[in-house]
Amino acid sequence: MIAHRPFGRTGLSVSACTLGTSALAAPTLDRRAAGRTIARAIDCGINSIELDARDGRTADLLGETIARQNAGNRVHILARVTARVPFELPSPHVPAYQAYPGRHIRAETEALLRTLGVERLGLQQIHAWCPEWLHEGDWLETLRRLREEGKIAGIGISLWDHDIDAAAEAVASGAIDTVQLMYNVFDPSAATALLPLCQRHGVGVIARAPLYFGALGWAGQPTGFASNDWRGAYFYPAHRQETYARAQRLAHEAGDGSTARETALRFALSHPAVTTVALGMRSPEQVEANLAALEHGPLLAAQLQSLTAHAWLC
Amino acid sequence: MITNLAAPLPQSPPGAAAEAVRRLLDETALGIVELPRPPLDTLPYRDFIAALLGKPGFKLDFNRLTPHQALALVADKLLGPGAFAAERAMLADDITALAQLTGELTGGRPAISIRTYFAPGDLVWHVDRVNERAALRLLWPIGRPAGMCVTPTANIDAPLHRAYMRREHPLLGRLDTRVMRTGAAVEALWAHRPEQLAAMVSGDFPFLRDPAQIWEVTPGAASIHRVETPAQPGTMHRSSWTNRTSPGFQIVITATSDAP
Repeated sequence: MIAHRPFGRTGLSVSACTLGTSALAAPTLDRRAAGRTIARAIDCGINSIELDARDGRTADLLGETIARQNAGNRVHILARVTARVPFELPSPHVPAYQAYPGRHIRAETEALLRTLGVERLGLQQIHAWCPEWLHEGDWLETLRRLREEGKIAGIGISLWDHDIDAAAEAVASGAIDTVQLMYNVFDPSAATALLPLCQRHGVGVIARAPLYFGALGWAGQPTGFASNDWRGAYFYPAHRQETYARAQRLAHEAGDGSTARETALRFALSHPAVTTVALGMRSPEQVEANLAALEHGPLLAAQLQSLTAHAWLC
Repeated sequence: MITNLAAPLPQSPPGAAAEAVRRLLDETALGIVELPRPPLDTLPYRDFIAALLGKPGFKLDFNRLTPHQALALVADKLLGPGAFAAERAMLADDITALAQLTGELTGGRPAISIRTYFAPGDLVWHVDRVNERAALRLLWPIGRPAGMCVTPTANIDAPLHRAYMRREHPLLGRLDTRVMRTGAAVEALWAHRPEQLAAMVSGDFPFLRDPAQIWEVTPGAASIHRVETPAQPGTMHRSSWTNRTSPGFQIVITATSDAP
């Protein structure tokens, strides 16, 4: 069984691996297969599941699976509030009261509790965090009240990919319990200052995209993605080629692709500030393989040192 | 990068009324109008500018300060109390006139800033953005070797640009901060990102459709371009690699308005 760790100031203890659900949201993915993936994750001891609150299809599926597994008291949903303004990029020009009005946060949280059939969310997170928001709007006051009412265990922020500097003031302020950020071999920049800061302030850390959206596990260069897979647009040809070449270099050093994948997963969990690694998984087999990799524990200092040469998204 | 010299940018004659500049802006698909300025060595405040160029790496938002107050603050602090009193007053008069023009073009209050540092993020094709309904930005870089480059919005593959910026925008923001704080060379800071660095040097990014469809503002001239708002597209632009070691003295005036 996977280890569990104290989750910042939430009072919760969460598994070192969190099930990311964006991969389960694809309309082409068989609903029963997705349900089996969630059930397998829970059976294996994963007790934290990350969820974009606007993803009603996955929320429904989670609710059904949690009820079937009778897991309402042992699974923590780490939710992300839907922004009222669509973001192309984090934007300080959009004030917090427009992006995340308190009334909207409360309504969405309470609706999610009903859909999931749980009494409390593990987290409610504000995504695409802008430092300016710390002193704007009523999002914090609303989340504090929800926490007092027992509807959420903790308050989190979720950073835009690579936007590590955005979190420092919020972490130091004591206002938040957790931070979600991208952390992987290609972008280890959080380790320089933010992760130590989180440790000092007792803030839990969700490290997402440990495989850089799967790229660190690519067996061959993908020729394309399914039409409804957002990665098709993200990995435009030049990006895909460069990413693949860099992943190949890591695989070459590691010996083979499977070892490189394991190394990348273990890298994300190696920093002591990281509470849990959020990982998208599409099948029970992927759940088992990833947990087996993580069971090998943190990398050695010499291994971590050698991986610094692979950083390029920082 | 090939700069399109065959068709110059629309120019507004010195002292033109806001209405005439507005007409030119509305007529150009590129969303930019050039405002010719005298060469640096003929400006009556050239010695003041030269002294400021010797103090690279500062930025000042005027906020509620008038141009006279702001330049006095800068000159006193960087060059000594009372330094260049006459010259800074003349430059302040010119900035005041340009701010008035920019404000009249949008019907909004102009916000002015000056800076002598180079933000490497400007090397990537982008639009400036604000949330108000209408917005224009005047840029007058004095002492820069190259002018701002612009390209039609249609020359940018929008989905690809979006994907590129989703990844690069925060990284560019961090790079800007590091350059401003440390003055380190962009090449050194991004030595681990040779492909992205090469694109910033050449201007040839994967989302640019035709590298020949690029226009350059005359070095030393001022220009006014459209800022993207919920109601209007912005002008796609970038700076030139040659400017990174000679960022010049940049005057930036942004005017916004929510009036219909």
